[in-house]
Amino acid sequence: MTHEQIEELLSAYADGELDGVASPEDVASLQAHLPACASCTARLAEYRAMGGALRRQAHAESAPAALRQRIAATLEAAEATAASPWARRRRPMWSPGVLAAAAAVVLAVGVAVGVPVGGRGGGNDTTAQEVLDSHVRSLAGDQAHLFDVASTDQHTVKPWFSGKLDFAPSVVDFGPQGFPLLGGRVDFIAGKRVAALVYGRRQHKINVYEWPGDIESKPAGELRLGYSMLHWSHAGMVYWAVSDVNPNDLQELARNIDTISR
Amino acid sequence: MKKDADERAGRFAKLMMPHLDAAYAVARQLTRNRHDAEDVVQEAYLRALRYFDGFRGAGGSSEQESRAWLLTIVRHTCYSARRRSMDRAETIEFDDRLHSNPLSVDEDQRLTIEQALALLPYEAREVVVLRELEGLSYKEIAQAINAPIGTVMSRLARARERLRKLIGDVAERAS
Repeated sequence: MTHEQIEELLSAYADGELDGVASPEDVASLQAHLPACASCTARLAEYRAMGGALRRQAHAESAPAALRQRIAATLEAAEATAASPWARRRRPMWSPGVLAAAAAVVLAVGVAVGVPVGGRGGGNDTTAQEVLDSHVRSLAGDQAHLFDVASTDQHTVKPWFSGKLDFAPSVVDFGPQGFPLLGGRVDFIAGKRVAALVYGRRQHKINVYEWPGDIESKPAGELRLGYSMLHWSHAGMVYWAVSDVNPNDLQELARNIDTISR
Repeated sequence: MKKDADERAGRFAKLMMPHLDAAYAVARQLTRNRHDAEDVVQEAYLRALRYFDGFRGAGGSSEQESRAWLLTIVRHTCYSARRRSMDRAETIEFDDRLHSNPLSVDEDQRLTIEQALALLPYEAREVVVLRELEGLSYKEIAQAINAPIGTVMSRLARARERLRKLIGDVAERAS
């Protein structure tokens, strides 16, 4: 075989599929040619590297959280329609009922991701699971989904939330205290749109979720599937912090947040 | 009735939602556009739900089977979305990050690859996605694109060679 003919087989060889498409003689002559030909050897290496780079490129970005929620809502709406004996009556996609149902599916999605759901009776337990699911999802893959707004500047992050939420979350960079602000996003917990702020702690990421709530409560921590979780309420806001850091770190961050939220 | 539907939705979510990232990745490469990719994935999930009973009826239930099944639907959805939009110009996203801020080597490489892949013709891009992202064998790709295995081999070989050159071009333009 000529050098050109061999070049054409390199791609299949890189895939380990040459046996299925070439004769044993061709396979043998390719194998004999390779050690002697620097250009073919280099090209083979390039093809292999390209495959790895393609996969990294594709998987660096996970599906947007908003898409996940939209699919959950769509599926729920479709099932609701199916449930009324195949009546193909369209319901408005974003009715409050569908949104609440979507939250349930989002929870089911958590199960699918492999996080067992604890007892579903207690409101806090369900919330804890949703918070943990969201945290795990936000980190799955790469940082692509950690933020809708990536900035260490509180004056960029805070205004970003206006108009997206019906409350103003407390956004402060605690960099000097060892918890640099990394960014934020809007997330969906317990059927509500909530603020999710991301802080760094050494190499770790902490998600802090915040939404309005009345009952004042002291920080209560728990460990769930190896993650530290802490939730408390202060000055009319409910907070949930979750991370793989030491629980004491979360306590410290909570104290910092409380000092700024009046 | 409602309860049955809920259970079905639960089973569906449990089997199919773990593959959302993979579905989005495939759709993103095939549509070359994040916005279209989101629409395609959403539509694909709806289609999948509609055909779900058939999939389960055929004995499908393993993680690998459900992934392959869902990604096939994503690909078909891309294909029909593409045919629908044949008349209007397709939008290829070009990331201006590549030409502006200093980027990490990793990110730089990712953007280069993304743009080079976007420049491949659809048929070439499709086999690359089937092979590299979905990890299908040549035999499986042949079934998926309904072509002989020799065509799979030569199409992939040409696609890789073009991609290799395009990566060089894109990297050069960016520098």
